[in-house]
Amino acid sequence: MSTFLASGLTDVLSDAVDLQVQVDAIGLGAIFALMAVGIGLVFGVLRLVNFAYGQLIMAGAFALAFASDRGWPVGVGIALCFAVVIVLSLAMERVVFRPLRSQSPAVMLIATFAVAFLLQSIALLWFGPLGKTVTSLADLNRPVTIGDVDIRKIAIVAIVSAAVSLGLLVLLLNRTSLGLHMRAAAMDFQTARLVGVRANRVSAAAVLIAGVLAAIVAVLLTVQFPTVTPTFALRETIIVLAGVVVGGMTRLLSATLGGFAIGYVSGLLGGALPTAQSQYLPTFVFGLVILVLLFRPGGLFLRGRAAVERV
Amino acid sequence: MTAPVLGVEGVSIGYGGSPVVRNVSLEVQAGEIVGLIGPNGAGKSTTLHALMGLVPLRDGEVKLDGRSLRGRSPEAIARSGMALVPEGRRLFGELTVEENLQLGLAARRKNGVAGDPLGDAYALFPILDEFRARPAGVLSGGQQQQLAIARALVAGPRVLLLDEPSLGLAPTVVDLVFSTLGTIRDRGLAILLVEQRAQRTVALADRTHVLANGELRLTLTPADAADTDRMVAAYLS
Repeated sequence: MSTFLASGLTDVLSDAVDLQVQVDAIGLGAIFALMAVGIGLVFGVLRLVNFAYGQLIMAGAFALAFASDRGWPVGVGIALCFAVVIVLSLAMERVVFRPLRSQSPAVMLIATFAVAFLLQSIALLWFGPLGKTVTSLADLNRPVTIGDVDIRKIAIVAIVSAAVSLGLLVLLLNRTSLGLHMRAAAMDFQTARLVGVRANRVSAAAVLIAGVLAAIVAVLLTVQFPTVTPTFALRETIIVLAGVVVGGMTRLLSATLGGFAIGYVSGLLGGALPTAQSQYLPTFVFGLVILVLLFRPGGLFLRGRAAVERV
Repeated sequence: MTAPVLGVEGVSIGYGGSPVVRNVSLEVQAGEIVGLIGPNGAGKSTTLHALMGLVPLRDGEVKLDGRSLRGRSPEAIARSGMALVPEGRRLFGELTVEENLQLGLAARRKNGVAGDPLGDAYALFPILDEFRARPAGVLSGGQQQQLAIARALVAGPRVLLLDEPSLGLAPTVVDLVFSTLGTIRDRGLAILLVEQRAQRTVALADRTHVLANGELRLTLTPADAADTDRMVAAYLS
């Protein structure tokens, strides 16, 4: 038994250092990092854990599937995906988040649960439990050979998309007055309003940016998982939420790193675990999450700050 | 007499049962400092919060240049020309001095005062110019208070509200703060100053109202500054 375990572990470790697995893991980490930024940004400004974030991604994925079904060009499908996710995000902000802004975090969290189930149920009614398949982006799953390693195009696209998106977000936050207002609102919302920062504008901006990131994630995830069902991206959202808490929710950078780390570890374990044992992947991931939170409850990438108290 | 820049007319404020502040009326003209003193819990800070829209009015009106501010959000009130220097300064400690000042520009009206507001702030408080790239959180208490006042001023307000600006400061810094308030008054701003340092406030302000148990009890002029017995009697009444 122990010999079996030891040889299994050796196989897993040798697979983990495989370059192809590494690139795939970084690609998944990049997608999860984008989701973490979307969740972290809204949490930073509104102190709201948006559990419905996964359903925004699901709605975008259905928009892609809808366009793919009708044979529309890829560009039109992606534009539709962005339009659907952005409109839904802004509607969510206007109808749910804004009226509840002064309520307790618990009330807002429950409200996002309600929105999540509402969107999921609408998808179930419109598209059925089996969902639809996106075929228009299948080409991105093909590998390109770099040196003697085959790397899937989607991994490269995911890494580049995440790097560009995060770079632009950093520029927006650090170089524009809107970014300064958002940072101030994230630190002290009431004082920001007292100096004239428009609460509605910064909260809409945070939700809009998170929506754009959700649309990007919808495109990237549908390449990896072409079958879109009403529970699409739900599992990923839960994993990313855990990653954000593990990283440290009160800071955008630590939340992003947490999202990336959990995506990277998931990708690594997913690539390294034998196919027969892949159903244990969440067990391993959440086992690690529990271990990290036992030793660093404030967040893996935060120093000396209690991060979990706001969750 | 022209209409006051800030008019507080029969204001009552309350969070639940009985009102914290009852039937307070006062006015501040351009180029005037009006003081508001009183013991802890008298309702001074509550009054300022209500003027900024943080606490709803139970009764009465707050008018800026004759226009009612009823129902407006704090940011709308800030943008209409009222600026608060809050108690404890409430700076954004992780942002630099310059970024804190840039935030003050958020409330600057588009057709407001022309010029270089940040340059003016640095001229008024040279220490801020020297430390403009430092995080606000590492400044001393006195420097932070200067930054809080400067942040309010870059908005180009018509009315400046100050909530205990001398709290926790060394005597020399208190002197600087009070002399700066005199300079700002000379520029034509209407200033409402809430303070614990009663004597200094009475000496500086054009007139000072004494607030006790949520009601205005007495109005003092600079001539009363030496008459501390009368002030103490007013506190205890």
